[in-house]
Amino acid sequence: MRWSKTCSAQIPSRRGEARTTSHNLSRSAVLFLSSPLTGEEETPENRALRLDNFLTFLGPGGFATPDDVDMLESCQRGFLNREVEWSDMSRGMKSDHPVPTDELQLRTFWRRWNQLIMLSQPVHASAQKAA
Amino acid sequence: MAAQLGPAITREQIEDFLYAEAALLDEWRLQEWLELLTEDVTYSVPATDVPEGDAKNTLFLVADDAIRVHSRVKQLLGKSAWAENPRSRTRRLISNVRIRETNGETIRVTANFIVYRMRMDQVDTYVGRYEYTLVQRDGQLKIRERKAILDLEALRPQGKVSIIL
Repeated sequence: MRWSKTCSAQIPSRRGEARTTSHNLSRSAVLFLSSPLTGEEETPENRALRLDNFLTFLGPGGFATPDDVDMLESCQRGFLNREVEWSDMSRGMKSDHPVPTDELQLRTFWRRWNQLIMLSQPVHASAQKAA
Repeated sequence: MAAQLGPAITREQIEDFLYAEAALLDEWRLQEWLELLTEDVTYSVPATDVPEGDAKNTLFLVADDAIRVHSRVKQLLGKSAWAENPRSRTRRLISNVRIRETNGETIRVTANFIVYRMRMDQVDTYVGRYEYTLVQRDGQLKIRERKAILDLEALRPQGKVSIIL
């Protein structure tokens, strides 16, 4: 089964730009726009340092962003799957006190999204446990 | 201009060097590639929209000094570089090799490149030109400056530069 390239990244590097946004272009593509924040009073030395620091982590050639992009591409490939209807976000559901790496925040987000976007009542907790 | 000692370097010798370097990178022999670099090496990849930029005031994609390029290799060879785990297959094509200037021990060289990166049934193509400053040390060529200037207008669909261009 063919699947399209799922992510792209582009860094606009014009001076003075202050933007970090990500746009879902379609169900199989995410566009990242990323550029460092700057202030008008920044000295040349500070700018050089800031740009250098940015590149240790961020950007298509940075030490972390390529892995993030790769992970997002993997997620997109997973979401193309139509045989499995549900995403499992149950981590921490059995804990009295879920930890930050559990998925309580995901469930909370999607319940509220359901309320606001789908204009429906949140799904009852016991129905979710069955999923 | 200082007189050059020994026979003048030929294009063929430079090509041999660049082909050998490309082979090390394609074969993921990155530790051996590091040995081609001087202690004051810079490896840089400007952003696609400002190819003539200066890394001090313009955001690049890669602007490594010796310390960072060594860290980069260590990360690529390690277990947690997900973008290269499993590793891509790459194939570098180098052409249009030109010796632009020799000055004492330093040699400025330019070349064109196409780097193909194959992973997860995708082929990414990186096209551009190299600007090298090479130095001769004990009869061996080493890389002091290595700049890969992409001709791509944007990293679509490549998305990342997770290999050493």
